[in-house]
Amino acid sequence: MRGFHLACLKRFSLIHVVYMGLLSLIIAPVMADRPSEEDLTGLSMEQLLNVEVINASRLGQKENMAPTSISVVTAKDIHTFGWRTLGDALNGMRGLFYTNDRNYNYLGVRGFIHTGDYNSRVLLMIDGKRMNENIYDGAYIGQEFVLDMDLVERIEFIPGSGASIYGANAYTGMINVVTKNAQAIDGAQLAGEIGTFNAYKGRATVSKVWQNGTEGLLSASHYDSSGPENLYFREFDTPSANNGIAHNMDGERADRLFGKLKYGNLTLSGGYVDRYKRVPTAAFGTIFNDPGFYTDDAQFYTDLIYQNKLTDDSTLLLRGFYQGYDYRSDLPYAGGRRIVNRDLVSGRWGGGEAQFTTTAIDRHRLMMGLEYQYDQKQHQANFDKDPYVLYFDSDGSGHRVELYVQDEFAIRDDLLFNVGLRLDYHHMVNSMQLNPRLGLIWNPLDSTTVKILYSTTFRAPNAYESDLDAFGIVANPNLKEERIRTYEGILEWRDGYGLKVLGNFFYNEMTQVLETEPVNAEAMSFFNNGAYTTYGFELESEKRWDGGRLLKASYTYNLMTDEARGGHWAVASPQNLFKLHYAEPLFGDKAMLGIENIFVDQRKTLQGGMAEPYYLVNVNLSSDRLIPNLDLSFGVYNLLDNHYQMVGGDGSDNDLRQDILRMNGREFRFKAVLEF
Amino acid sequence: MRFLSSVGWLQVFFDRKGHKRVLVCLLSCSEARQALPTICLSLSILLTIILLISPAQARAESGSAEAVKVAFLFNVLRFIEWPGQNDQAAFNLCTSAKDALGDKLLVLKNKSIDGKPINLLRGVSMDVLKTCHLVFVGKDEALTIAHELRGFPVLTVGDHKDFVREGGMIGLLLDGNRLKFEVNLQAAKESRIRIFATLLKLAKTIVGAS
Repeated sequence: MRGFHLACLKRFSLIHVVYMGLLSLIIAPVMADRPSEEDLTGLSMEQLLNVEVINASRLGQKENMAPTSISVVTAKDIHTFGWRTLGDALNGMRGLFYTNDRNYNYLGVRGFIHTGDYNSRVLLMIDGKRMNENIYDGAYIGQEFVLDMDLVERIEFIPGSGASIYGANAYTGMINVVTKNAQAIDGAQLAGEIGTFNAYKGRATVSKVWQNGTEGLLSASHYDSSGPENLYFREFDTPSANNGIAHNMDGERADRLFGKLKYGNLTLSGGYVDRYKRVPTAAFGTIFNDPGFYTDDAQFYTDLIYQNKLTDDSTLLLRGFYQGYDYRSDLPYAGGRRIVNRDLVSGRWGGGEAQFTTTAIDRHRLMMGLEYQYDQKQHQANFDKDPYVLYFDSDGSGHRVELYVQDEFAIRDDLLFNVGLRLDYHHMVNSMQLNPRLGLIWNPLDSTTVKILYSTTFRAPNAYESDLDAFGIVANPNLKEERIRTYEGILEWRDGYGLKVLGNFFYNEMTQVLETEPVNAEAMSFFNNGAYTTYGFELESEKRWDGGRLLKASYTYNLMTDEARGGHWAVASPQNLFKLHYAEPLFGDKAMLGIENIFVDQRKTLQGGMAEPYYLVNVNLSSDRLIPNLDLSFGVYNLLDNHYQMVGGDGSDNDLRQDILRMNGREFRFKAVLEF
Repeated sequence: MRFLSSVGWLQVFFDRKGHKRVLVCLLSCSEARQALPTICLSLSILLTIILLISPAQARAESGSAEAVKVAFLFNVLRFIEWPGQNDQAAFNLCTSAKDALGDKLLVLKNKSIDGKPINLLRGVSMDVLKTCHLVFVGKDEALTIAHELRGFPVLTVGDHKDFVREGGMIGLLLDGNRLKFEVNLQAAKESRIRIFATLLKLAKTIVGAS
């Protein structure tokens, strides 16, 4: 084998192959003779109704005029590549990667990842409604995410601090998950799946569209996996700790409910998830291989939207919401005898939003809005169960108000200036926050868009960071907001025949980042002393053919440096990401093959080591036409069966002892969906 | 230039003779060797596939609103039966003065359906419109023209948002970034125009159905 790959390396270095691939994607259609006018008459009526209409008014919200470099995957992509969680889907997108500590999943954006932050630096939305809870401001992307992947119509990701003018926590980026509407399911569905490690999932969904236009959808699902039977952790390899083998310690369960009702201008939706995870890593200094160590996260949301066109040019959106988050964990400790420590939080919050959009002023598209959230409950507690010892008990509540205005001004037909401003009052920060978002978007040719973007935003300390006063952490009453400044330049090119090519460069400057530091020999506190800068570039090309063939490649280079610790390459941040997705319809459209390739470069660990680079190949074969009303799919995940490495913890009793965590090898999944 | 270290995509090393060498690679070369053959192979296969694909097969997955509407006008002809269609030699496709379709309509110039050519008649008078098979009515004139053509064996298509509720037969809408259409069956019936069920199945809404 060695002989082969060295030879391969000599003949063409990998980077050449990648560039040749990208280049041929660009050149091939250009070289071909084709009529200059836009002719869609070759499409069938069904295909035509599926064409993405690019609004010619130059003032629409069309993708290539938005002041962002958005990435989108659709329900079809989810089906083709067999993504099982939101994290799986995000992992396939440009510039993103994720890590898993066998408890939670963390998303990395353009080099930035902070394990233990529960993704509080990313804004997660469902249908435009913010999902980050109000204790850790966490956004959950694994089985702990509210939605079943089968109910997702599309996932949009926007990187950068200017990702969204509304909604807090869009610090490194914004994820918006759009749910399917009733027509997409139309009737009833029963789905079942079975996978490696005794993973089972069942789902039942009903939907109906009534004569008067009312639409309803209701779905429930259950997931259960026992995980690998034995997991070996070198760090615990002693006879008293079962020689480092965690036996039946990686089980996971999730129950989900989702409903949506649309009547006229009103849409009511709600979701619920309860995820249980047994934790095999003996994190936080607990007893190794103790089946009593688990975390349980439950979350619900309800969202009522009223949207109405006031006039031909103006739209009003009103929204009311109520949400909750409950987490509890039992942590077994050895202290003479086994003592179970209970960690729990409970959050409730509600509020409303009004958004007004108008194009009444010539050449302007104006959007303004007001969002209010009341943090009704921010409860955190920690105690030993027996004998009862209370270590920490804290309650909080308060108001968040956000006012935003954005104007898209068409200076010329081919030049758009996008200016946005938001003002925030947040009860966790002492001062008001004013942040701009500026974008200059130039269309020198119909096919080409150039964007120059600048934005800043903030992240308020969450309830956990500001209130925690236990486990050797002393609360710091003087916490300030974290700040980020993003500069980005983007070049997009479309040939109008399904090919998109994008290149960008970016520079992120994060300051006042909240991190723990020692205050004395025994105690730590959160301080606003962290600082990171990242610069990098991305290249992406995507081509979709009419029959369903897809080829998409993206490459991200970034260097994130830890400015507070000598400006060195930051921990956990891979410098190179490469993704390649290929889908091919087989047997005359009867089946679809999806091949996913993901490369993540090496990452520095917290304890001075290095997690090896890894290359993942996932293959999924699906068919919804072989048998009427039955949709079958078979997926092989991690085809190469490598136990790829994720960055572990800092080795202390407040984190994981492991420097590196090895992930599962090859997994299979068989799934069947029956439609009625 | 911090990234010029051995951890990035430039690998600096000394070969057997002690000469300094720089290797450019995406992978950190020393540690991801096992992945290389697979990457090389899959990329080579993909490259071959790309090169084999004829670009002519490639079709748009996105288009301007005008081009999509024009393609709709072309396509819809297959789903319509006019009274006494058998002795018709061509399709007369007409538009009102302010059709707002621009140059995009010109792609229909030399097209034909089932061997019957399409005659394009743009911005013609009301008398001529009444002799057309299909009339596309621009937003500004939608309601008056739809009204005047009512009862004539002419399929009226328009993109005014109330087109079908004001007597037009097929109304085109943009819903998000997809084209949708509405049908007024009553108006079609009055004009003895039959719209095939296969088309009706794709309609967003149907008004005037008995």
